[in-house]
Parts: sequence; structure tokens; C-alpha cells
Amino acid sequence: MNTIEVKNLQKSFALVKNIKISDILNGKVDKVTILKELSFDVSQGEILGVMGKNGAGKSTLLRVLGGIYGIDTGIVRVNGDIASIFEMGAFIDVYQTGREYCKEYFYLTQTQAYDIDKITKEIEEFTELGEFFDRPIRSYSSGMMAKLLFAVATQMAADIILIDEVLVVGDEYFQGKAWKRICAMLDKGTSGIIVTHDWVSLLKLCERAIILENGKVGFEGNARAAVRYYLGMKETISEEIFILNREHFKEMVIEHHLGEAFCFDFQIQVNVIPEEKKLAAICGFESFEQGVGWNYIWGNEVIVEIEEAGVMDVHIRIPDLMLAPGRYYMYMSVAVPGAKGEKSVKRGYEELSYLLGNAPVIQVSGAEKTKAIMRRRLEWRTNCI
Amino acid sequence: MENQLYIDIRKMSKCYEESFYALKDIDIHIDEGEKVGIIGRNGAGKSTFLKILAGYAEQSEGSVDVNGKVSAILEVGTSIQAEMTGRENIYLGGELYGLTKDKIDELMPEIIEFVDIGDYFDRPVKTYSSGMRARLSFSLISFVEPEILIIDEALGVGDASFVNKSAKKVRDLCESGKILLIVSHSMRTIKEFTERSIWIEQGKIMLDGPTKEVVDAYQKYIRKFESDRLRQEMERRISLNNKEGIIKIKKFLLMNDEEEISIFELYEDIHIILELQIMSTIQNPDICLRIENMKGILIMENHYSEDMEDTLIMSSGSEMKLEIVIPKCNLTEDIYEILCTVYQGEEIVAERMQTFRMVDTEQDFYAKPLLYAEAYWDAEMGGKRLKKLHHWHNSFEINR
Repeated sequence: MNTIEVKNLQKSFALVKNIKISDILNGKVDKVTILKELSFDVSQGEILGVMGKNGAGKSTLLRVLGGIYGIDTGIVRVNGDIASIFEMGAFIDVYQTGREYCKEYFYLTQTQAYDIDKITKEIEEFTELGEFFDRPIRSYSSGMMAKLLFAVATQMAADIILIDEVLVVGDEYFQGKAWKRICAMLDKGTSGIIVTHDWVSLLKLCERAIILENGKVGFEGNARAAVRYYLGMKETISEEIFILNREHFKEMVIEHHLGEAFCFDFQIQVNVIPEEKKLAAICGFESFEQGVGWNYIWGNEVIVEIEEAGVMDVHIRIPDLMLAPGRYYMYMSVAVPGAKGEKSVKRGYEELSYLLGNAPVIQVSGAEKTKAIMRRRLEWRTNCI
Repeated sequence: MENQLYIDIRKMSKCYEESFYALKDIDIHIDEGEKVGIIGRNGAGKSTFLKILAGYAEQSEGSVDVNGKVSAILEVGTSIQAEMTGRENIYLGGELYGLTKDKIDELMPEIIEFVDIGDYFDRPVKTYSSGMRARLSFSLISFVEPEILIIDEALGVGDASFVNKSAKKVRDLCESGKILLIVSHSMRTIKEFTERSIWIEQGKIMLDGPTKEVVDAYQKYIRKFESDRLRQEMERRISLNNKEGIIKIKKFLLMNDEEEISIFELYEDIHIILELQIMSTIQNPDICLRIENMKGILIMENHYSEDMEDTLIMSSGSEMKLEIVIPKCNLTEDIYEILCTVYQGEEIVAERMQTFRMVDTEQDFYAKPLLYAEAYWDAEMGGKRLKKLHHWHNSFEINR
């Protein structure tokens, strides 16, 4: 059974500037249709990723699913209790303190009184608001308010979570806690939808994703393909500067034994010298594991001076690759680096990566003892008394 | 005397409910030509300060004297009229800044391209998504010649292309503004755009002076603060697995080469100090150290029994001191948890946790990796070695 079912959903908003009653009665109301013929499903235990440019309808979709907006036509079925983790600023009484808000929220959800005290204490601890917990929400910074809303919304287990770009709230420490909490909910089989621009997080949380374009599903597929589509990543075949033998790399599987130095070579054809007279070569390992998602393990870059056209031989050697055995993807790219203070990549030429599906595989073998990513032998010094 | 621009604030305070001071006794004077950074932790009062300066809020006490037209790019786009269209708002906003209709007409094509919201430009702002609202709000001010420009960097999340466009615009604006005030959490941004900085903490001014000095002091403070907080957090986590009568972990802490600390820089040696008190003999003892990052990924797991040749002996009535070194720690910037577990065979008899943070200043390009790997690069063309302009992360020349 699908947890969320959406079929031919249409949602418009009326433009009510200077509207007269006669207009409404005559049906002469200007409308803007945000969601049009939108159809998709979310199965039990699945988190669907939703991406899209600003204005595509992502937030509207979440609010429709959360029951905040009605719809024009179509079918929306949501089977289960929902926890909405997106701005609910409209419903907050800013003169209440954080504590009061908490108590009222759980009172309204008909939680037992003795539980409310315990829950409020847990929320106080989770949000780390300190004295602010007993100050009016009016005095909160936006970060504080978001922390409070997140904590309250995720306190109780839910069948379905609707998340709108909330993982960027708070400092790193809080983000870590928030992430763990969401992962814990997912482990318990919660289904849901996450709307985000952060494709890295999406790759970790979702197996499938859709891209909204002008209120419709512009793309639907596995998360990797969706991210590629969203980032506009095409396998760029530049004539000016490119990596030689890319077809060859696609099929390649390289064996590496832990303990040996890791060496890798590739060649870059430089037909047109970049005007900046410099070129960056970047290498790294990516991994993708079921349940863990996508990770960028390590990366390294060298920038060289380019004054002539020709074939550039690049060689990288890592004497001590202290990684866990397993399957990795060799990330390679060539780009013109940005100047100091600018973006690190000014102009990319070619990229071989897991996302593009054209990266060579590196099979690292060694004693499989633990699941830890880093393998180093440590020196333990003891003195007993 | 020329009509110079300035901002003069004397003994200014802002309080809520008679007892909570968001800002207290603020004294600041800024002259024409100054570019000033405002830094501080979340909730310190920075946004409140800017709102008062921009005229969106009133102070409770003291005086705020601003001589010059203020253009503010703040978190809350309060100058936008929701019932009007984007286009109408541009006209309205432009007029408020003293632009003539003709001038606005002239700039309109550029504005439309910058905002990039298609048909929505002629629809009421209340139909806009939050991202669109932010773009409109931003463009409203960016086409005006600012006298006093205030930027609160918390402009909200948006898609990558707009963020790039607006970054360039901000840069251009900063060149032309006569007084610039910028709030940011990025010390890199503050150092790049400002010469003077003011550090606000809990509503008061901690430091006001040359940017480099203030930023250094602030960063040192933040590190110490986090270090203490991490330690407090650790103290609160008491493992349920500790078997009180058998063994006790007296000490579990981290050090660098000199002192006890919770913050490490890239490639620093991490010294792990462990002190155990054994009350009753432990059969087949082993000790395990695990490191996890904030996303729950297991980074490291080491057992004494695997790393060392000899066997551990933990006999009744003895004390044991251990020092384990992670040389040149290559973890990337993040907060980590390190867990120490003492085993009797398969059974856990004691457990303790610590948190620490890794700091590095290198920029990332593709995505932030989990680890750094020391690499040796070589690039050749036509048999000739190419000159290396930059290595990333301590690469060295290959010895030939």
C-alpha cells in the first residue's frame, strides 16, 4: 500500500487584488496554477526526494500534503499520521515562550499531562535554547525559532514526515543532532518527502527523487539520475580540453590491495590553452552503499601552469591509502581553478564521477575487520601501576 | 562643512518585556568611507541591531542618529507590498530611494533579468514562493546607488545560480557604497569586505576594532566556547554499560602535543588518554576506540588486540594508564564522537564518550570529503615536468 498517493493534482491560488463580489459570483477570478496534473507515489518506508527551482511548487506541494491547503482537482491520499517539518510561522503566538508553545502543542495533540512535562524537558534539552526557552518567541532569532519548531515536530514518532529544507538550520552541532534524529525516524520505517536543494543530503536519504518543473513532474527516477538532471550535468564533451580514453574508464575495474601505495594515471588532451594559463586536475574516491548512501571519501587537487597545447600526463600517488576494503569510484575532473576568494572551480571541462555513471571502479581488498572507513594501525602505549 | 554621511549611536538599548535586553548600552560611531563587519553568535543581537539602524524597529533607550539614505538587504523583506506585483514593487521601492520613473524604466530590463521569475513578475507578491520573494527583495535595493548599505548575509537558501549572481552583485555594491555594514557568519567574507569589525555578544559590544584583530579574538572565543560545550555534553552522557564493580574508567580525554583540548587542526597529532581502575580481574580484556562523525558514519574502529602484538592484562586491584596517538589526523572539518569501550571477551564492561572537532581552512570543490589523503602529484607534457602552482593538502614532490 502506498503511504502517499497523488494523482492529477491541481492547485491554484486566486489573485484577489481589487476583487469584487460580482467577479467571484461570475467566476471571473484570475488564478495562478501552481501545481498541474501532478502524479506520484511514495511507498511505505520510502523517503522521496523533491527538487526543483524556486517557484516550481515544492512548498505548495508539502502544504497540500500537510493539509494546510485544499486542492482544485485530483486525488491526494495520505495514509498515516503526519509530522510537518517546515515553517509554521503563521500559527505561532509569538508572545508565548518556547516552553508554553511546547505545552500547548502537545496539549492540542491530546498527549497525557504527565507525558507533556517529560516531553517538554526533552525538547528543552534538544533545542539547547537555555534561558531563551522561557523567553517569548518574539525575542528569538530565526535560527532559534527553527530549532524549536524542528524539535517539537520531530519529538513524537510519525508515520509520515514532510521536510522542507530544514536541515540547514542551526550550527553544525545542532545539524548533526537533527540529522541523526531524522535518520532514526527513517530507520523506524517512517515514510515521507524531503524538499531540498542539498543534493548531497538527498543522495544519502533517498533512493528515488522527482524534479518539479512548473508544477509538474519534470523528471522521476533514482536519486542519482535525478541529481544529475537537476544539476544539469551532462557528460560534457568539450573539444578544447578533455580526458583521454573516457570510454575505457567507464568499464574499468582496478584492483588495489591495502598496504600498497595507490597509483593512478590519466591523460588530458589540451587543444586550446586556457587564457588563465592554469589548469586543475582533481582526483578522489566516491562510494555508494545501500542504507548509507553516497559519500565523497577523499579528494585531492593539483594546479599546474599551462603554456603549450598537447597531451598532459597526470600521475597521482598515495603512499598510504588508509581506507576500508570495498568498492569505490574514481572521481576525476579537469577545470580552470578560480582565483583566491572566488569559487574553487571557475570553468569545468570534464568530469568522470559516480553521479555521471562514467567513473572507473576501484576494488580495494584487504582484511575485512570492521565497517570503519579509515584504516590505520595505532600505537597503544601502556604503563601499568 | 560638507554634509558627511555618518552613523552615531549613543547608549542604545533594546529591551522586551522590561527585563530582557536584546541590546544594551551600544555606543558606535561610523564615518563616511568605513566598511564595518558585525559578527557574533546566533541570537547575540546582530539582526536586531541592523533592524533598528535600518528603521524597521525602534530602540527602547538611547539615541540613534543616521545621516544618509539607508539601503538594507535584510533577512525580512519588510519593504515589499504583498498585494502589489513584483513590477509595481520595483517602482514603489525605486521611488522610495529617490529614483525617477524614467530611471527605473531604464533599469527595468536589467532588473527583470536579474530577478528571473518569469510571468510572476507581473503577479502579486503574495503568490510568490519564498525564494522568489527573496530574489525580488534583493533586486529592489541592488539597483540603487547606496549611501549607507546594510547587508545581513542570512539571505536564505536558494538555488546555486541565484546565489552566484547575488554574490557578484553584493561585491559590486560594496565597492560603490559609502558606508557599508555587513553581518556574516563567514569570517572569510568579513575579512574580504571590511576593515573594521564589531563583535556583539549577548546584546553588548565585546570588541570594536580592526577586522583582523576582532575576527581572531572572536574565533578564539568560539573555539573555547565550543570546546567547553562539547565537554559538558560529554559529561551528560553516562553509558549504561558501565559495570561499576568490575572496572572504572577514571579518565578519558584528548590532548594535543601540549594540553587537554577538544579542537584539533588538520594533521595535528591527537593523543587519547585513558586511565582505568580495575577492581576485579578481567578475562580476555580488550579495548576498542571508535570515531563517528555527525552523520553517524563510522570513521575509525581500532582494537588493542589487532594493533598490538602483546596481550592486555587487567588484574584485580591494578590501575592502567594508556596513551594512544592518532598521528597527523586526516579527518575533515566536522564534529566527531570518540567512544572508548572495554571488553571482557564479547561483553562490554565499561564505556565512555568524548566529542571533538576538526578544523581546516581549505576550500572544497565538489563536495566535502570525509578524509584527506596525502597525495604526490606529477604532471608532464611532452616529457617536460609542468610547474605546480598549488598543491592541495600537503602534497609533496615525488622523489626521483
